[in-house]
Amino acid sequence: MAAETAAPARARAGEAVDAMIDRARERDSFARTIVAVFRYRELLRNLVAKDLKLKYRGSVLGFVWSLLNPLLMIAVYTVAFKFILQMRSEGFVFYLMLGLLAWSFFVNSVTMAAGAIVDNGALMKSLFFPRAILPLATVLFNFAQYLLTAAVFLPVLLVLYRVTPAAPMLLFPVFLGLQLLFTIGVALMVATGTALFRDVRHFLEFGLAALFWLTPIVYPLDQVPEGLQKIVLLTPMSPFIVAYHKMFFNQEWPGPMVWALAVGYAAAALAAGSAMMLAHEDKFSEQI
Amino acid sequence: MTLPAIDAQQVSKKFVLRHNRDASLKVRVLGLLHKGQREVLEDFWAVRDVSLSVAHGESVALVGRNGSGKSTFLKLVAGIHRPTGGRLLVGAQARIGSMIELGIGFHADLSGTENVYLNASIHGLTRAQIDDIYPRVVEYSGLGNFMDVPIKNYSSGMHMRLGFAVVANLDPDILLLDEIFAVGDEDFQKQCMKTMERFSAEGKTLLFVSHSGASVRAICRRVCLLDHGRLLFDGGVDEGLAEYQRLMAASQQPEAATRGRAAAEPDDVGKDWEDRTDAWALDLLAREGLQPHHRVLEVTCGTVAGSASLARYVGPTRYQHWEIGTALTEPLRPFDYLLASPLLSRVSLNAGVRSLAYALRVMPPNARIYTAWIDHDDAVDVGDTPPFTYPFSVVRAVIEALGLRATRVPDAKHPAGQSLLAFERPERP
Repeated sequence: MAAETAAPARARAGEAVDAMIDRARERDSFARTIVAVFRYRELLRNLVAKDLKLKYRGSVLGFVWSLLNPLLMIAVYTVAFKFILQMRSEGFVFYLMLGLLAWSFFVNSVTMAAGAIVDNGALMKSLFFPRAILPLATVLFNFAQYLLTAAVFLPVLLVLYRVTPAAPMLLFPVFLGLQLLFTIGVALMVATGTALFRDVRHFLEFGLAALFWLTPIVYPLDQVPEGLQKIVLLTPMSPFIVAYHKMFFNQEWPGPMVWALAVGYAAAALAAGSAMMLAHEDKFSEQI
Repeated sequence: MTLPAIDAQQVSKKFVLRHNRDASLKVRVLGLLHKGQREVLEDFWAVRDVSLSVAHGESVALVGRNGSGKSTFLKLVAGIHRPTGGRLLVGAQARIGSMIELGIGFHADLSGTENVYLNASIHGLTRAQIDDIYPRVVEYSGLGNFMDVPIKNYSSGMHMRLGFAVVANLDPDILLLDEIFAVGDEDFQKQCMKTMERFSAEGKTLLFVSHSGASVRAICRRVCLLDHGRLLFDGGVDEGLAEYQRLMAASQQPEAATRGRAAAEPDDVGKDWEDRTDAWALDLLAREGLQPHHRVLEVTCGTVAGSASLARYVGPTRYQHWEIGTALTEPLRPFDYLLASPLLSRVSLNAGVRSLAYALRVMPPNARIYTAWIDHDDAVDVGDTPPFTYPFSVVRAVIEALGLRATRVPDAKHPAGQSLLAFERPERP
């Protein structure tokens, strides 16, 4: 462990310095962050576990709530849309829940990530660890819940609405992964952005609400006026939600446009989020 | 050749103090319209040109007044802050354990055990490593019966005990500790002390901040004194702590040192000056608000070298020394402060003015000259033989003839009992 053992006997000045790192010059890169996050994986695991534990600590039903909640939501929406609004469309609640589940994962992650850096000032000021871990942990915490609910929900919905499993459903993990990457990217952006300007948090409240209505969650994409369809499909969360609709609701393969957008958005968000984080992470300890 | 564990070369850390900032766009936008709303940025150098090298297995105490940059230096070593300038080398593979603040990273609602796992993982340990140290952490903390209790039910003492137990068992190569002796009960402090002794016995490198002379003496053989971000002293424990005491005394009661000035004879004065000038000059410059870019010229009489601690404080590139009557090895550089300790007490006005005239050529408009002076308002003899006694009126007239303004500096006496004069350009605000 000691640098001493690594110190070569061939003590030429240049080589000697190699065994040491210069705090003033060390710069993080994307690759180094990945390595560092892997080295601190236990921290990531513990942070996610902490949030999961604390969420249910003190409640009688505990984590059963995670499973119960979606079921209750199905009941509420069924009553609301079928009996109050008297909607004819068959399986509307199925359609709605598919989008809503994916959307809540995104929204909860991003909202939590906004505080990931700024609410941990004391930690930032007194301990060194890869800063990206904090927003990453909030996303993974929400992702764990998403998986849990989806695991209960999807079978229930499939049975409830008598949908036979179809091949396109096998793509679910792929789009799940893409949405996870996209969400991580946005979380990094939001966490860094909030550290620079607290306004980001306030804007998020409005921005996410606006985005919700620009994403085909409560309405099917083909009911949108022709001219607007393209625009709605281009909003950041649409390709993922549309893909889920396609594979589960329509049992069809997602089209090339959906693929391209989902992959593109995931890559772009991840690139932009990491770039922002890397550019500002060494200032967090001073500015928060 | 063995590499040092920590090697700091001219390390500086600048913080930008943002007055008027609440980190919002509003401030930026309003700032475009109103000057008063604009955020005001002020540079603050928390650490300035600190060079120190810590060998493997060495224990070093950082001492200094509040705000002297000790904690910031620890944080630079730990990698929490990034140095603004200089080089700060630490072993690429060295495991660094830090305890900058006790109990940070604990979550009140989690149990002791859960917190140990969380906290140790913040320090970068893997699951297997934590499993390995866990029994030792519990034993060390003495909290075996409380490990399954949420730590919100812990007393603050238990809280600290658990925090230190984790750090103490991290088995780091370099341990950074910030004032852990300031907290906790006696038992806790004893335990800390024992642990630190064990660490040094095991050949670990220890860098710690402490205000407690006793613990510094017990643990290490080297003290680094920081003041206003600069390294003032680096050496043995006794001298280091004495320096520190002197610094504290000087800042607390600058007037106390002037007692008995009437009895001071010129010869004693000269000697005293050299003995006591260091802490005093540093304090004077600190009071003046010495900025990192300020340059200081020290003029001496009868010593070969200038004050080493002053040179260190100002920074080698911004400090110049000139012994009156000797040839300069390099031309005088412009200065912001000239400290001419013996100008009017150990040399004649004649010789003093000659040197001054020389220094004037590189004196920027805003610069200031300080010189000690024995107040002899009743003196009639203005001869050029010792003891040199001049009334203030004579000094002022001569200085004014040089195009400068001479004033007595209120409340700033030299410890040797002399008054202090300031010379500056008349247009200086």
